[in-house]
Amino acid sequence: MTEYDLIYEEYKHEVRLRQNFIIKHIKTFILESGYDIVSFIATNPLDMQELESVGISCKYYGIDPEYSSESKYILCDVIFDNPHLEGLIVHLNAQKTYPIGKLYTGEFIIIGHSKETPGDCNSLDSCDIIIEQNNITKVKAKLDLDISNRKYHIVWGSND
Amino acid sequence: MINLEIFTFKWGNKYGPEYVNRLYGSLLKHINVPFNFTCITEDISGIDSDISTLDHSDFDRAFNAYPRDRLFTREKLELFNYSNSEHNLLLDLDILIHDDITDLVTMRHEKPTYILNSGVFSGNVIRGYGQLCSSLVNSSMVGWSKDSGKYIYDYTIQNLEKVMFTYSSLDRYLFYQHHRKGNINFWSDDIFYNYNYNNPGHVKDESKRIALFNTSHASRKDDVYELHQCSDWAKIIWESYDRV
Repeated sequence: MTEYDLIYEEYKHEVRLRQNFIIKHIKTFILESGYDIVSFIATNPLDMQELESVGISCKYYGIDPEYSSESKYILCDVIFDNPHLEGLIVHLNAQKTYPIGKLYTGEFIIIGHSKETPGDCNSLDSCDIIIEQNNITKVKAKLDLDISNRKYHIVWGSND
Repeated sequence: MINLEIFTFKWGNKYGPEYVNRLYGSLLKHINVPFNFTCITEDISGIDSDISTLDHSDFDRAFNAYPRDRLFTREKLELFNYSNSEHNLLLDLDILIHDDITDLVTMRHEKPTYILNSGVFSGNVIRGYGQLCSSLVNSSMVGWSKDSGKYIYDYTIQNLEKVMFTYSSLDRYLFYQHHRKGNINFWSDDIFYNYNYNNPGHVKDESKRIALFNTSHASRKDDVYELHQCSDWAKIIWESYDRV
């Protein structure tokens, strides 16, 4: 293993920890939403056995070729490729994209944080920014989470 | 007779007119077919009178509603709209051509052809793809034929708000939106090397033809030089392109 291999594995481990922590908090929202399809966007495939065991179908949309062989991973950019997104739309990296709510209507759980890397084009410093950017007219829940010295902002709501 | 248009951009004060003039001198030495060379600039002072010039502001008109730090060097895209000659080439000023490139400038391009940022960066980029931080695309030398780049220009204009929001750099946009979709090609990997980042650095690679400097891509700032700061073989070659 090279030095970069080690750094990359460490990075992936850190991402998984953060994702798991976020998922733990939004699972209740997903279950309460009543949707039987969830479109997770801008993420790697996640371990969602708990949702799938109660009949919720999960799809994952992202552009990372590393996951292209995974059966539920749809290799595309939801902002630029205009795929048809079904059910509840869960955006796990809103700081990396143009606001999803400007392009799609429906019910969303949108998660983001402030800008940290050149890949973060959309600095999200509060839930209110997420609500405003995505034209969320009906807010069902909003939440701020501190994970490893990073503040995540989560909004559950709809824009239709 | 072959129809070959070659362009470069010069704006701001990072590079002086000697960069334009010596680039032209290098082309005269290393291309053995006729060509037109045009510098797109807001300041023509000091530029050799044999070099055509165009007003830089005309090349940002489609984009100037957005800050300069969005889609940086976006003016390069305007060339796909401006020039549909049989053969077209865009060159950055901070390159050093030291061997014949006639075959490169007269080849046909079904898609615009960019430099592949290989070596130190490429493995990292592929594995960190989802972070959207890096790019394999380097636009220091771009070739296109007729209207083969028009699709990228039109797509950018049609998606301008999203593109400007998402990308601070042109090369990253090209990588994540156009390389991903197969809209661009790469020059072969036996043409370019990097003066500053190759290991060992600052060594002339006789097996290749063009040295890149790319100081703005630097992940480190020490031991990194622009052409005018060099004091070795690169300086000797660069200064030899002065036209007396």
